[in-house]
Amino acid sequence: MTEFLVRRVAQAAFVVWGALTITFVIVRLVPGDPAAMMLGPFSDEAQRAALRGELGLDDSVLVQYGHYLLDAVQGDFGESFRLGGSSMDAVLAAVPATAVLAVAAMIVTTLLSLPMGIAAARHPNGPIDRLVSAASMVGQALPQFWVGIMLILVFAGGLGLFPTSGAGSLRSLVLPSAALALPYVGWLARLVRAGVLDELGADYVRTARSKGIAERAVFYAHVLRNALVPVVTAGALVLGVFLGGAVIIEVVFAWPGVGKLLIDSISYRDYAVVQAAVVLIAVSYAVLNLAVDLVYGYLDPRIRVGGS
Amino acid sequence: MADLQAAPAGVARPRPRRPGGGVTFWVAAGFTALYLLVALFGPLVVPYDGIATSIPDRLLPPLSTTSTGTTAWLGTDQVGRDLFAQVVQGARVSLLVAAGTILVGGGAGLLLGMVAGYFGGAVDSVIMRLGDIQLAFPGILLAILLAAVLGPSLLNVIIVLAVLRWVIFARLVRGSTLATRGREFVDSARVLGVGTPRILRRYILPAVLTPFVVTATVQVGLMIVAEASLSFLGLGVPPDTASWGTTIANGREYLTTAWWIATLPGAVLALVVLALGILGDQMRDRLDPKLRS
Amino acid sequence: MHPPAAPAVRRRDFLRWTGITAVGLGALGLPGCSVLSGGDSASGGRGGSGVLTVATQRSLDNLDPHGPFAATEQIRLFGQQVFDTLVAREGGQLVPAVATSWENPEPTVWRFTLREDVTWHDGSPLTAEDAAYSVRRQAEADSPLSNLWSALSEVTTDGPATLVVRTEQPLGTVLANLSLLRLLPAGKADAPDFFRSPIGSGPFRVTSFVPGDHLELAAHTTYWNGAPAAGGLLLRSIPEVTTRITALESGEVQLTWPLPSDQIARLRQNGDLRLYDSPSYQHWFNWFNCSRAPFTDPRVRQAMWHAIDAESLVANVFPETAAVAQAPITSAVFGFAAQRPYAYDPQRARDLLAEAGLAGGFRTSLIWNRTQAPQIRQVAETFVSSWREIGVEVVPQELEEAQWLERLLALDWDMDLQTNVTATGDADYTLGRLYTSAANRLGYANPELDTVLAGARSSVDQAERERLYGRACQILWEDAVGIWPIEMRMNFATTTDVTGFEPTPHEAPELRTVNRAV
Repeated sequence: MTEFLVRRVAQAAFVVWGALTITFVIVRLVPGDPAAMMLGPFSDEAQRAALRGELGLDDSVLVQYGHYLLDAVQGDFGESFRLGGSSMDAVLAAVPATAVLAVAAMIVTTLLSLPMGIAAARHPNGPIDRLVSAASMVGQALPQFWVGIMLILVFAGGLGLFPTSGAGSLRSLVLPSAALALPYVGWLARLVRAGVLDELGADYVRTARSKGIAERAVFYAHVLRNALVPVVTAGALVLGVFLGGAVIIEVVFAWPGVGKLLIDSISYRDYAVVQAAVVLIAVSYAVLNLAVDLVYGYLDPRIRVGGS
Repeated sequence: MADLQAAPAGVARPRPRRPGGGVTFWVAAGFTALYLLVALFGPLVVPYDGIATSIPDRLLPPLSTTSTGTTAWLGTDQVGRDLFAQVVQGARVSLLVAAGTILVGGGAGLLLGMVAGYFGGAVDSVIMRLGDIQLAFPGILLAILLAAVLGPSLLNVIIVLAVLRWVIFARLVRGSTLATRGREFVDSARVLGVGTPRILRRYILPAVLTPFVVTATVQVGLMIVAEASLSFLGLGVPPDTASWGTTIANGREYLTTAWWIATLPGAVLALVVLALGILGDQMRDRLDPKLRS
Repeated sequence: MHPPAAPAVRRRDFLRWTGITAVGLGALGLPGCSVLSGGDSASGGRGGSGVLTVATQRSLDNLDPHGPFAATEQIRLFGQQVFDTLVAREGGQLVPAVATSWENPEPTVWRFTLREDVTWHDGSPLTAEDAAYSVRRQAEADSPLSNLWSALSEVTTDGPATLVVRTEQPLGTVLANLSLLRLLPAGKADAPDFFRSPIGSGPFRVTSFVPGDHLELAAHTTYWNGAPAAGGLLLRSIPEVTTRITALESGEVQLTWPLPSDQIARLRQNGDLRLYDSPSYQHWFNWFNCSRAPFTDPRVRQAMWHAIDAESLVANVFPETAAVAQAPITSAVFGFAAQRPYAYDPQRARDLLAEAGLAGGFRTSLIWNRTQAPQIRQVAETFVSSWREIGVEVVPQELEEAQWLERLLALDWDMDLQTNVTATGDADYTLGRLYTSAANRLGYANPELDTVLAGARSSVDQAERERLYGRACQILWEDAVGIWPIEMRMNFATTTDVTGFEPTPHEAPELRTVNRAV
């Protein structure tokens, strides 16, 4: 177990380092001058040169990288050009908004996809199954920004039920989390359905049935539990995507989360914030993956943690 | 960029073979064939000029008559271009994007997935960790970099989407490879001294190709949606190229005044994605009822 | 044997699961509680208590009114509410604000007498020392506004209520520049965290700031020019146009701008809204890189202009929000002199090209960035289409903002389409900064123009300045270093419960008199 953990942490560290390094290099390789973005199109070259010097952008990328890694190891991820102050603080300040949205979307996804998947599996190829199948495809067929804007126009504009945008109240969470969850509901429902169908064909179910155990008991005691194993992995993947910041949803709904911060920071070439955000996203993926492995072992003792 | 990665659809599981389920299949296949026909030959019949604008004819609703006396069946866009011609042209561009992405991203995923699955160990670890790195790396940066280096073009969009999607294919193929490499016929080939490249090509590839093709079919539709997301962020195809994504993204500001610009291409896009999704599902059932991931 | 065991396991599992879920949600949700409750006032909503929610497109990221972002519309809007200036622009006039009067005893010396009843938000009085500090700070800051002050030589005080500004050469724009110079408390503004929650002397004080999202302001009730009508302001940014307009229509937001031209007719139908407009300082231009063939030839540039139908552009795309431009600055700006618009005449354009030896047309490119203006892509596409009519094939290049800026500033382009706001309302801000040979912003060098612009800047005789800028307008127009197709109007919309709003020609209206019926 310890060996397993050590190896996983080492792998996670490699992933974080790799994502950070690639981001560090590419964000500097991309044309665009942070000083020009700050001073705007009507500044003059002397001012921009002076500002670049102050921002430490005159050093070679390698020197900047060296400095950055040294500082980062000590927990200093650099100053934000745009917002002033620590870049990691800026990212951490955006985390609650993203986390709340992610959890809300996850709850919506789970609450809808579990019953949908189970209902579909109970009568394969029945009308419910077909409906779930079609719904899952349509959910993914529409661009998220379009869905988001339509939700705003109908439910915030037309019906006036929810606020259009911003992270204000519980009500303001409804539309963005619905828009965020939509493509994943059907997808997860299909996974649940497939998992359940797999398990229903398993030997132990036939054995249990032959012994006359009530169908319901078999279903909930064994089938569902085992069927959930792959669903947990998929769910974690989805949660990871949500936590990584839903750029488009956050832009459409003016939601002050990590995704919006990341895209704004990329446009402004606010290097430190981009890097801090990538570190945080990579770390949260790693933690989620580890959590999934542990939950996996718990749900299905056949999978021994530590095995390959 | 998370949105562009979207749900890795296509991993949905098989349904038991349905003896009479042919109608849906044929409808989906027919619609897909129609889409392919339109994409290939439509622009020849309904020519579209991405440069020519006609602002007196802007924002005309469907079935309007333009200043030149022609009928705009689906209306016109915000600079007076015919939306029908634009959708027909967009079918081709979107197909190019999707096919290009499958070719590049799917191809890379196929190769890396097979290598990772077959060799295992350190090779596998490195490839799969690369996938993890890619998930945390903001793909927007790559889109901006490519647009800067190569100039805004269709090719950039294809490369960006390929980089964002190869992992989906790699994971799938790796799984199938893992399942195949321990099978007897592979072992005996190895014992007989067949070279590794040949084993991969002759024994592993055929086994992983079916799930790959099924996933690719579904991904075609999703790539078109992802291209729309890139357009929304201003990183899509150049303005004189009409893709469905660009049309929908441009039209989103007119949803209250000229709904047709974003909605009609959106509806067509949804239908194509749906048809390809159904097709993928049914192909899975038909080609390999035992296919399980 | 299974039945008895299974339910037990199930229940235990269920309990454990519930526990895990609850803990997980708690961990993620706890910080979230603050997101959802802390920002409650941020959602506004109808029937608030005199707090006005204002939505803009771009976000406010930083609160330093002298800093790198000083010229952006967001900082100017915020600065207008929180800080004072010595001089204010009202209509076309520069009028007293914190400075009650001024004299200009010598061309290079300006003496300002300041009000003595102005207090900072922390209660301490504003003195000439603060004003001197602020002028020096702005002049030395890394800011696009600093070069307005390049002629500054010395700023001193003469007692607590007199400020003396000396310049190296006479500087005709002292007053106009001061209308953008926000006053900061001397010394305090050097504290490292000052700009997280800055202190000003303006009608509103900062109560809470979330960079990139919103800023909350409360009335400064002892404001020298009268307490603000509203109890407070909430400045929000909503980047997506449809979201922002819907937020206005649903009453979540009570004041917003800019309005997309195509929505104005629809919004006017809405009985819950009131629309305002005003002439503006914002204009469009399509620059030619005059150092690149074939745009080195003025005839080619004029030909390109004659291919553009600005009247049709106004009539079809900007019916409510623009007029055909008549100068390289808008008609609301000091120094405007009307020129004769280039007629839409494709035949004349083709003739000019032929004269320049380009009868067969040529191939070139146009860069722009879509954050410049909501309809910029439409204008670009319309132009590109028009140019093809005269045989010029233009490759449209919509670039991401930072990349566009880098190429623009490096003169790495053929043509560039963008908008510009003459923030001080004085032609110097636009003409004097962009079109000199030294600025070299578009590869254009004209010694005569340099002389005219330098003369206009260094004259303190406003009539003389106006005459010189008129000449500058004429030179730029006739030389066609760019196409100036349209000048914009400023459009604002409020909900009908909003009173006291006065539209301004720029994007930074003062909101002191604005209120909401409760």
